[in-house]
Amino acid sequence: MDQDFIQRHYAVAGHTFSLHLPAGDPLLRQMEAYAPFLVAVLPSGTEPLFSLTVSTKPLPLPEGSQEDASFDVNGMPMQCGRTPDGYYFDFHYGDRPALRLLTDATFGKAEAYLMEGRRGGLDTALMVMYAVSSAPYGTLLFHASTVSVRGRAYLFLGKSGTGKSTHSRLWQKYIPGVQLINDDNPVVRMKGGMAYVYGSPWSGKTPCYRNVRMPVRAMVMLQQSPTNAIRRLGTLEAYAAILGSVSGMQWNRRVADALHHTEEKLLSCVPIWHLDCRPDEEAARLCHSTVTKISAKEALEEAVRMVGEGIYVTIPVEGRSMLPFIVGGRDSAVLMPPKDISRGDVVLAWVGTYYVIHRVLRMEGNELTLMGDGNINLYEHCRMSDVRARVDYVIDQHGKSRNLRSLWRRVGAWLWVSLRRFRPVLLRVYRFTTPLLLGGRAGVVGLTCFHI
Amino acid sequence: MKIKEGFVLRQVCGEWVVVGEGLSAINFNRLLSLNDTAAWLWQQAMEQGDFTVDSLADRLSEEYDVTTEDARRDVAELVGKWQQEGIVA
Repeated sequence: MDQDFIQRHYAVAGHTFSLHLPAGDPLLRQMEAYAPFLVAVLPSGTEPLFSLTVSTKPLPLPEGSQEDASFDVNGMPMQCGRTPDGYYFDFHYGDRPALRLLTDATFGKAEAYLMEGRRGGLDTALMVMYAVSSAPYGTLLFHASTVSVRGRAYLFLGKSGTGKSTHSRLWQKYIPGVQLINDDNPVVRMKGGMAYVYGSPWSGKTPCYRNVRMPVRAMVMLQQSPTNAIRRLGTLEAYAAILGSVSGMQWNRRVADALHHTEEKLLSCVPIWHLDCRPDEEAARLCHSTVTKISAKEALEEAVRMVGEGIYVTIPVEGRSMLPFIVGGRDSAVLMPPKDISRGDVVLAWVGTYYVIHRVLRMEGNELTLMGDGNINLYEHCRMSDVRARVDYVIDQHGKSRNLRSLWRRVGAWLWVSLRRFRPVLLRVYRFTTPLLLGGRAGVVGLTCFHI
Repeated sequence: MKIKEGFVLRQVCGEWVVVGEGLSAINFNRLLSLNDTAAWLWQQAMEQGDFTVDSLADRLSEEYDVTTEDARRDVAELVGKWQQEGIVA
């Protein structure tokens, strides 16, 4: 690198990029927004996603360049086109040129010449490069205001001037525990079927440059209206809402295909809502109470994901397939990471189309046979990789826990399993007596086995 | 006629849509939803490049069990909609 340049590396949403600024450039003292994302050195053996050099000299377009299109980005004219070995972008503030960006065809190396409004031009150059070069890695640069509450993030989408920031502020004012993650350009990445949002150095007018990551629970398309109303968007409406909120170079087929791939995955796991809203407390409360709700299926998937991260999760259990050891509607199961599974253990497993909490009856290599203690002739088969959690404890309605693995319970379970032939009778007795033991809560014992 | 440059057929969670992605279609601020047959006809039109109602209707009656007249009527209606939306020329 030329000695007259200062090199800095940044990591945003796990993607690193390098910035080369001329030594003595006043921009070096205006980089507070980027400070939380600074990395001292690149991890050895890794290449940055892209590197951008701020040129000290004007960048003439190479011979053979041609303009592809000219359009308007939020009132700022922009031209883009092709050079013999890549692309160029020209941005203006009013009628004055602000930024020329030249990039190679793979978006790995770029040069920028900053004119009017240099600090804003630098953000624009980095955002363009970030959006196009990260697209193949399941990454979307969003135009949204993002808040978090209780460990989950919510993105508010909408055209400029719709009131995204205002809606975020209303959540912060009226709902306890709400924090702003980013007010203008957060990054969303898909990882293992989950969407995560990340803070970025680009946060519009609100100085909120947080280097944080949070799972995305929902996105909400905002529209100003005299009344507050919310509805869940269908697939295509949701797709349209996302399309309008993601930055990219959609006319480049490679970038567009990558973005589409990520957007489709996002739609399959994050609900998208439409909120007609006034800028008031009622809008924030209506939105919050609707979009933070979670269905039983989503809750279970969330629990499975958390167990995968090594966290113990307690979930309520329905059904009577594990009677008498687990009572549906009364007990909660404590899910633990599925280590050292052996015969007789109770596990949470995916059996093709739904989850069950059942006991391992047989193990042959990787093939497991499961059976509910309360089922008579109903087996499930699955592989070891389908076991998502192990259930050693259940907790009853009084908060008292029972160890399903303690010796006498295991002996009891084996007795139970070996008594299979007689179980219909035993079950009948048990089912008859349990409601009485529970103080007449007969209605609580569900009729279906535990699946969602 | 031809499908204009910049329009792309995409599948979103099992549904077909036409999106204006290219520079020439950048101001096409809407999505067109297509059923399976319409999406199939779109693909045929793309393959043929320069297509007519008749050329698509012929393909349709080859592939599906419909009379030439029915195929012609359905294709004419569909292509008429595409023209209205300005995505063919």
